[in-house]
Amino acid sequence: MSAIPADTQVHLGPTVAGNPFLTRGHANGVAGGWQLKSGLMIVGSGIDVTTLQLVGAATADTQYYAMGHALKFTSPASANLLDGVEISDLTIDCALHAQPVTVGKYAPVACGAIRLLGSHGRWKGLSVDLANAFEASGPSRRQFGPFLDLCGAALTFLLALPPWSSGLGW
Amino acid sequence: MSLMDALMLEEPTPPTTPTAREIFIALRREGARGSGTINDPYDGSTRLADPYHAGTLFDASRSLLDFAMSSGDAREVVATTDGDHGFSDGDLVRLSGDTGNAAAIYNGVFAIYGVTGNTFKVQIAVTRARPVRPAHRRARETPAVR
Repeated sequence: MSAIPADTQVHLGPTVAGNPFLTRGHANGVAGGWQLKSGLMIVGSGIDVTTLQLVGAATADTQYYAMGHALKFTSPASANLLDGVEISDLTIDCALHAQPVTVGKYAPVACGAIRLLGSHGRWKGLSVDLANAFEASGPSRRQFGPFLDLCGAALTFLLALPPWSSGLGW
Repeated sequence: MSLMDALMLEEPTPPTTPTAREIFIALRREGARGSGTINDPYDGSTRLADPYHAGTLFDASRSLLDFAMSSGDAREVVATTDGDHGFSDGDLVRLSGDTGNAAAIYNGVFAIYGVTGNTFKVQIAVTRARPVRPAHRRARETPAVR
């Protein structure tokens, strides 16, 4: 995914139970993984038909996202705004249980689904498995960020949450 | 023609840059890498090493609800392979083949820890099973939250 250029439409095919697409996602200050780009459209085959699972969140006390990007450039210091990103028709499994356990009995990380700063973003037909996103012990509990971190203008949300996600304040 | 009519006839400007290209990714079983086209999508499946047969120490009679209501060490599962597996802490393994009551939580991808020569531990997800709904109903419920 890191080699895919901006302004590209990526179609993800169906997955089967127990065999999802795996991604290392993005986290600030962590090498590897991939980042969203302007104009990138990620289109699955449907909720619960295409599943993307976050894996390899190995740096302790870090917020990971299955799809995300750095919010700013360091030199020169400026905001990293992405325009026209579209994510639709898939399920994102934050999968805390599948992250390496480096401290105690739980992975000391926070796992989110999407982080995006920009304009003209669009999300529809998107399901986030929250049950595996909010859980940790130790210092990382203080650093929990939102599972969806979206900011910008002209954003469109058509979001379907699984029934057990109600009551989490979204 | 008035200026207003001329403006109304003008084609709307796309809000974003037109998509330059399309890439298709799918789970392919034959091992082909693919070229990214709709007829030959890239292979997005996980590259697996040779499989190991492993057993786990758990009570197969326990239901998924039992696991959902449990806590603490009950989430930790020790798997014992037939021989030395060569894994390291943090490696990702795919557990498959469980057909018991708790298959939904045992079959999947896990990061392992507590590795010894022929054992490793995984942390199972204690969540409720995803309810199965008819496809037509699922599609209708998609824009439930706006």
